[in-house]
Amino acid sequence: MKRTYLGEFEELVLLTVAVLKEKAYGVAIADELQNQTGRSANISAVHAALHRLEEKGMLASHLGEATAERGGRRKRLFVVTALGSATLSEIKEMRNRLWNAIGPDTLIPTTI
Amino acid sequence: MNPPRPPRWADALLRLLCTPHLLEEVQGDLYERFLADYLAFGRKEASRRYSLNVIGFLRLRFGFERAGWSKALRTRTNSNHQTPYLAMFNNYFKIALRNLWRNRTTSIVSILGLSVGLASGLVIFLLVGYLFSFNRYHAKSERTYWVVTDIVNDKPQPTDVTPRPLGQVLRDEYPFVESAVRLNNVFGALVSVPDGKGGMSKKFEESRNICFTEPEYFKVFDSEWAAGDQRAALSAPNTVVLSREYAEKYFATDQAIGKILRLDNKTDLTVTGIIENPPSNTQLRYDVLISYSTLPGLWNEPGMMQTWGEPITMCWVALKEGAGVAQLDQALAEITRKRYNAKDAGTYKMRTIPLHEMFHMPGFGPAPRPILYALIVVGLFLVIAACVNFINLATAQAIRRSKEVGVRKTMGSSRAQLIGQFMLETAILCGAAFVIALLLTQLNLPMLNGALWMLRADISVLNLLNYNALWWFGSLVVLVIVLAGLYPSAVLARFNPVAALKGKPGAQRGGRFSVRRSLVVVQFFITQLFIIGVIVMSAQVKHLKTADPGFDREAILMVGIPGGNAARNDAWANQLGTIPGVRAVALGAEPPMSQMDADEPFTFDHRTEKEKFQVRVRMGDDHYVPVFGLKMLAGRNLESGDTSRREALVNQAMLKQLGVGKPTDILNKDIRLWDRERTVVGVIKDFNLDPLSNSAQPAVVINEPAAYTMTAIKLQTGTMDVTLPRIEKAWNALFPENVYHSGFLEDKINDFYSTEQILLDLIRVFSAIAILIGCLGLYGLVTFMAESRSKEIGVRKVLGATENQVLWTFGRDFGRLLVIGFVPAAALGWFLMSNWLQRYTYRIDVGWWIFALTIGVTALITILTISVQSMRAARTNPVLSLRSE
Repeated sequence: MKRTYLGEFEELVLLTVAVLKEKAYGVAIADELQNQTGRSANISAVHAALHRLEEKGMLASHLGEATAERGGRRKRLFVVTALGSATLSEIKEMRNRLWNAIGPDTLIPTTI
Repeated sequence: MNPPRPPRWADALLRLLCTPHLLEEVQGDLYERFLADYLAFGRKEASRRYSLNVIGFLRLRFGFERAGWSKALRTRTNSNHQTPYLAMFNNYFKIALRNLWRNRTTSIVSILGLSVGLASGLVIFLLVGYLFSFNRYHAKSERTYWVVTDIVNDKPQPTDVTPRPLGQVLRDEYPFVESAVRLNNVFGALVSVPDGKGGMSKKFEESRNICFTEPEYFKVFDSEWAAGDQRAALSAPNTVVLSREYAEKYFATDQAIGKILRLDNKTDLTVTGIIENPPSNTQLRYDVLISYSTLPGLWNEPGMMQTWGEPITMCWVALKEGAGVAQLDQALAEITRKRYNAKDAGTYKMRTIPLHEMFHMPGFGPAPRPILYALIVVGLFLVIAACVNFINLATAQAIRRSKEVGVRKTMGSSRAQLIGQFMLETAILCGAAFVIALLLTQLNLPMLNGALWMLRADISVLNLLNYNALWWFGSLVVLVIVLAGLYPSAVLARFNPVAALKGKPGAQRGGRFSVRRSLVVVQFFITQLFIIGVIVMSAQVKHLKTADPGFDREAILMVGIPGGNAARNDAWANQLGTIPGVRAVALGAEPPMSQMDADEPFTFDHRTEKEKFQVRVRMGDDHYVPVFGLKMLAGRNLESGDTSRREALVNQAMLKQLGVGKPTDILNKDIRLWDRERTVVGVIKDFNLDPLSNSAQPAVVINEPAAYTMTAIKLQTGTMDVTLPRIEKAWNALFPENVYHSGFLEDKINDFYSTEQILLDLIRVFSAIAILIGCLGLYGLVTFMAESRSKEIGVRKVLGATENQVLWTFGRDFGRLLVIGFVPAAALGWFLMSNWLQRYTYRIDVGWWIFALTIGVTALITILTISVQSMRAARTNPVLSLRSE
């Protein structure tokens, strides 16, 4: 099956949007990303990824309410589309298949 | 409390560059992050992060499609329904780069040609700029004047000095004079550093950078003071001010205040001040300034400061602001009237030279304006040659661009737009060429500075950064771009779109003599002018160095000796005689040919009046004539026992000037020179007295043991390696308190021509460059001709022309251009070179062979350059060129 390619960072962003449900917008996503993965994400990078994902049809967006803490500016809220959900679960399934294919003693246990 | 605000500039930047419909959310996010950072890290850190984030949004990675600046600007300009200049500009830029890349060989050739030409132009202009900057840095340079005296006898003889009291009188009696300073140059002095135990720890022979001067020196001239009391400096006798470099040289520290130096083994001087090293563009390069009041004691002439006699000391006068030089001239005339008797007042004529003109005055400074202007012309010629070459290559390229021009015109491009486009292309190329030229210049300047070591030159590309230089450099850039770009772009822009798109762009305009051909003629002209210059100058310098000067110069070692001690001089000469390898020794003052010369007045044969002309004096003992191989025509040499100094030898020119017919007629006549009668005992053949003399001058050779300053030692060739150290050892044993210095006469004579040598080297390098550029231009033209005439050649070959005949059509064309360029080059070259040669007595003729050689060399170079391309054109199978019709 032919499907749109998803980069690693894009996948993380897409997942984070799913985590945040209806409260997914730029800064919130960047913060959540940092909390979950421990790596600091540049806002501009997050924005770029969001726009790319929207172009690919995996995210949909609308402008939300204005809030005082943003100096009265509205935020763009993102939700995962059906295509996005399908892609995510497909990736997960593929990974599971791969994990199952690995024999129990193949991977060297780490001592971290 | 007001909410904290992010940095205003970052906000403005974002507003300017962010795509409008995305601005709100992006700015909102950034603002939210800013508030969070503000609470967490404080204002400073938050602002920093905000700015970084804004810049993050501008990154190219974020894409032209998103918030990229290019798109933002484009939308802005587009939305106002203006011409999309930027889009067009981008397009021009892109096309230009693509074209340069496609024709990379030609691009590299034209960039290199242009940059080499520009670099040589830059080197010359920097040099001229440096030479013009001399003495101008003094704050009062505009109102400071140098007073010099012409001694008017038969013909006026310029000197660079004034009567000693003049400076004092000007200072004291003329209110319009702000200050005046007197200065005495020292041409050779021994400076030693006492070791505190009665001996000397170090000794140095100094020349030309030592002077005696007054405290006013620091009022008239700018010098940076490093240590010591400036106001008290140089007022007391036996005090000295050193430059930092020399303080370190003498004492190995710049903390030299209060230390002692000894001058000429006689006088102790106390260091009272240190100045910073003088800049390289000063003519007053003094590293050791000794107080003027030291002089009377040193020379043992207590009354010298008040004596109005012969001019003897240099004098500079700074006028008050608003005072004119006319006032000074008037004052000088008045002083001459008042202080001298009527006869002397007629003899001594004082005049003024502006400080900033000093360096360019013929006879006073080494860089006369005509030479500098000539250099500028050479530089301009090279730049023009480079531009011409560039134009040639660019127009040759134009034909390939005809389709593009056709399309652009069809799409509605105007001529002005097309010209703009191609000018932009030229500007890109020129920009690259200028960068390379600057690099080349910087790489070559060390060589030039090395050649100008006696000026201690420190020219650098950074000199371009000063105000004046920026002005001419800017105009040069603009001039080159316009010159190089205008014609090719006009040619391109005038293609007829219909013809161009049909593939017949070569709508050859302008019959037999196109602009391009005239450009090649210009190049031939410049190249041949340079070649003529090189040939004439090389021949002349070679002639100067090898022509018989009338005396021997091989294997003669000149060794300086301290004057004034006859017994030691004799001991020295005797000791030399015992060293094997020494064939003969002469004591004297100067070799037969010397640069530092003054003529002396004399009386002949007990006449009552002094002769109308003056005579040049050479002092030496009885060995002087044989050691230098001077030829005796009549009479005999000086006697070895001429202790009463009563004998003299004269040369032929002296006879001629005195109107004596036969050499034997003058023998036993008397000459009165320096108030002493001498009898002429012999006549010698004329010899070259002065490296630049205009004709054979009258000269006498006399014996004056008190004036001996050198020994001329005739050596055996072959054993010099052994002999030289022995001579030095003997010298050091005999004169322990002085510094040994020696040199071969031949080297010294070659040094007289160092200016000519530098000039010749420069002109050689620049001719090579001119020829190189010329070759590039020819190559460009022949490529173009081969391309545009391929059909013609095809037809000729089909109709039976041989390869040689086709080659001849090229050769004939270039031959004609070469000859047309040669005629004015030969005329101008002959005129310029004959003028230049007038400076020399011993000069070559500008004969026909020079011009024959020039045209031969040019023809050879031309043939070499064009042969490959024309052969290729002549050998092409006509089928290839005629098939596509």
